[in-house]
Amino acid sequence: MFKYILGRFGAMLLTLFLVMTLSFWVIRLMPMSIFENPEVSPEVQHKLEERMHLHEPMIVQYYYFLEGIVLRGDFGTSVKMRPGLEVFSIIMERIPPTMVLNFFSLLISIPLGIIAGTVAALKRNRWPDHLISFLIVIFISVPSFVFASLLQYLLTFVFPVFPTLYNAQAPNVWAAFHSMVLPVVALSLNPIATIARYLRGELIETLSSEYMVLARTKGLTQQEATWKHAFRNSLVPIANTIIPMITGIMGGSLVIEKLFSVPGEGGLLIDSILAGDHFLTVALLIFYSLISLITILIVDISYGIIDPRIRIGGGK
Amino acid sequence: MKKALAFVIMLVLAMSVFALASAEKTVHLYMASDTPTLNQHNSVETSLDTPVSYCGATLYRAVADETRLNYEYIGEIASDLPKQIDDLTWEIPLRPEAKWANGDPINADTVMYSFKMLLDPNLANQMADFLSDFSITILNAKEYSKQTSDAPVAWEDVGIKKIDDYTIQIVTTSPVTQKDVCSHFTTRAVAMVYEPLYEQGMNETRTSTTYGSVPEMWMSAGPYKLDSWVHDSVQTYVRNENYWLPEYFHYDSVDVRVIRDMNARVELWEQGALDTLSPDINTIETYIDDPRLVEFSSITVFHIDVNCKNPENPLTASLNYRKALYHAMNREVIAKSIFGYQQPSGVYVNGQAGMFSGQIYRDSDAGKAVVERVESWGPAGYNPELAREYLKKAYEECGVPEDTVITLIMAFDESDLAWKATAEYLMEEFPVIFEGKINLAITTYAGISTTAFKETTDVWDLSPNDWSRSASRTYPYSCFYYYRRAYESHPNNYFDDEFEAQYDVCDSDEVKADYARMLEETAKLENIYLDKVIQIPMVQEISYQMFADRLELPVDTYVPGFGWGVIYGDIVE
Repeated sequence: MFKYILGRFGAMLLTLFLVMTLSFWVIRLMPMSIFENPEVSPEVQHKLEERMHLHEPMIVQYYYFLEGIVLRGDFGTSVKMRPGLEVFSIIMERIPPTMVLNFFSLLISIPLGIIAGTVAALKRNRWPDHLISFLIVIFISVPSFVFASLLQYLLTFVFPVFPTLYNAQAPNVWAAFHSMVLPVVALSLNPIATIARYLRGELIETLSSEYMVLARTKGLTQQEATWKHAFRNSLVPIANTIIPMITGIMGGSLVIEKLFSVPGEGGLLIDSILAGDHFLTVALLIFYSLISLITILIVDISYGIIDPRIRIGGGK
Repeated sequence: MKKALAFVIMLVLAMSVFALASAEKTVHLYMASDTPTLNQHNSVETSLDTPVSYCGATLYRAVADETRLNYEYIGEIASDLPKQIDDLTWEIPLRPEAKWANGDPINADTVMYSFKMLLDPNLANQMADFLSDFSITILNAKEYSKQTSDAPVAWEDVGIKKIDDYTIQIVTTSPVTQKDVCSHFTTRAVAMVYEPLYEQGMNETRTSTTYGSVPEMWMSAGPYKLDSWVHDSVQTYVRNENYWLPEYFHYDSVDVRVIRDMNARVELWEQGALDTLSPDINTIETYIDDPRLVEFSSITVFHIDVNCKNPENPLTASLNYRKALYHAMNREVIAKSIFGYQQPSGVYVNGQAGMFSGQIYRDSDAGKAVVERVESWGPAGYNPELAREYLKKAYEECGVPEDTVITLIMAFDESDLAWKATAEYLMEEFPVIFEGKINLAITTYAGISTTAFKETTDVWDLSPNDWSRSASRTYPYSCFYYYRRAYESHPNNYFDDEFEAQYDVCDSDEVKADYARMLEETAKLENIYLDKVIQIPMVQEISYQMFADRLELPVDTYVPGFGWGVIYGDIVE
């Protein structure tokens, strides 16, 4: 098992290095001066570029980039979005609001998704199944920002129950929670539908399997057989969708965060690209890649634990 | 029972009155995006205006005068208006009572340090030009800041000197007025910086500082102090007890939300949770008849750069071709229907140009004469007949057979919806106007600037632009600054000697000292610009603004150079 984990970890580091290299070259090859602005004189622009080694050949810039990361853990300093601040600290500063929102979103998505999927499967082809399936299609096919705008309009303007914007300076926990309700709900609809859809499919397949018939013939009630055998077996493939959701909570949602003015990670990548803050952009790309790679690593390891054939196969 | 009821009612009323009387006056403002830093030396973002104007202190401030129709300068850190010593030398006395929010004194050393750091050649601050060469040109300031001349320029050679603890001296390169000096020292770039924190944030090589990157690394000195700053979310300011001119400011606190989404802004405005709203192209229709809506010309004239070096366009170098394009633009339709309630403009000098110098250029006789000339061609210069005539001449001039169909390429950032719609409109219009000889194709780019795009290829013909020059508020001619060879990052590649020579005339010390003459010379420059079609002016941007009824402003109308003075407003429930 240790060798298996070590192998996966090594692969992750190699992939991360490739991502870092690709991110650096792709972003830095964009034909744009970081400091380009009609209000800034060309002399100042040149001087700033020199200071950042931007006047040097790309390969030299790449050397400085790697040297900073490997020797000092330094991903560079923001030059546009937050001039003077290390990009790492900017990313860290943005994580908490994003994390809180996505954590609450998951907290309601997982149980609601499981309940909806189970009910739909158990009441297959009856009105609860039709209703849930209809909602699943709506929540998956309609982008979350549409629901967010709708919720914002209905529940903050027509019926002013919630505040329009996220309150980053809430005086107490209740006020903070109150301002989070709408973005959390808007963020949750898609995950609820995703989990419910997967679980419904898995559960229907399991319920019609032979071992379920055997369980019934052994004398278990439908409820007992469903709970002890079908439901638990159906949850295993669902882990494949839930684990990325958990690790993705730091990624944030671009549109939801923008709509509710949440100072999170969501819009940072787009903003940094548009602003030409290359140092921040590259660091963010690495950050997002790292999250994805950790997710994959966790899934791989958990699969290795659940199913020994996978790690043996991997070992060969 | 009745007595008890009456007592309760009286108590409730008394409490209500007390609550109203003691209610905190908080003004609710918003920004479309947050300021990247509070270091006023090193950010060109206009979002920095808000925190620095509320929480920073400069030598002078513009305040509304008694007529409520104009403004005047008062000393903020300065105790009096600048005193002229000779043609080029001014002395500025400072207030002994000026203090930072933490009680530390502000004196001549503070001013000298702030200005020295702003111009520091190692720091290469992006706002340095706002001190060296804005309303006035300070002796050797630019030379010190840029260090471009052969011989190094020392700080001691710069025309900023400390006379004593409460007097500084400014030496200019040409004669200026007292108003110019005041105006020069009101911009956010020249607000004071707090030396201990500025130095604390300095790196080892003294090439950058983290001053202002976080609230703890910035010090307030203005009428309000920064109470909190959650980046990309909210800034709050509360009264600064150490401020020495409290009588000009009436809010107890200021709440500035960062609201990127226009719908959210509108909802908050409708709920009464915002005291101002600037409707955009998509929302202006809703408020166009609202009596609270006010409008004013901005510094921007949207325009189109014309490439004269497209290897695939046989007409590319022809002046007649550029003239044909100039007259083919139906600016009325583009400004009003596409850009949304904007002003069509066949001229390029913007509606704010000259406002810091006493008269807006466009209101002057010289400026009006240029507009009249343009209108004589057609509405805002639009004249399809003339366009066809010039195109015919261009074909002849370039030896292009009459039946040749040329497809022009309009390149623009695809996220710019107004220009996208304009391009689509011109795609339909050009074949009609030019009787099938000219077609228009679209090329889009995203994530890079227009200048960067132009560095990648010469295969483009038309490129929308919105560059504007702040200094044109003082020197109207300077809005043409970017269209000269001398400006290295110029967005255009068409240069004209006559145009450049006239720009130099406008920029001479002699003309700078005589504003009436400057207006005349600017008109000559603008006429050359039109004759040579340096680029194609399209739309004068009109800014729209709404204020809540509870907000009492210090002026009755928009005052060029001052605005609405929201900072000096009051809450009247």
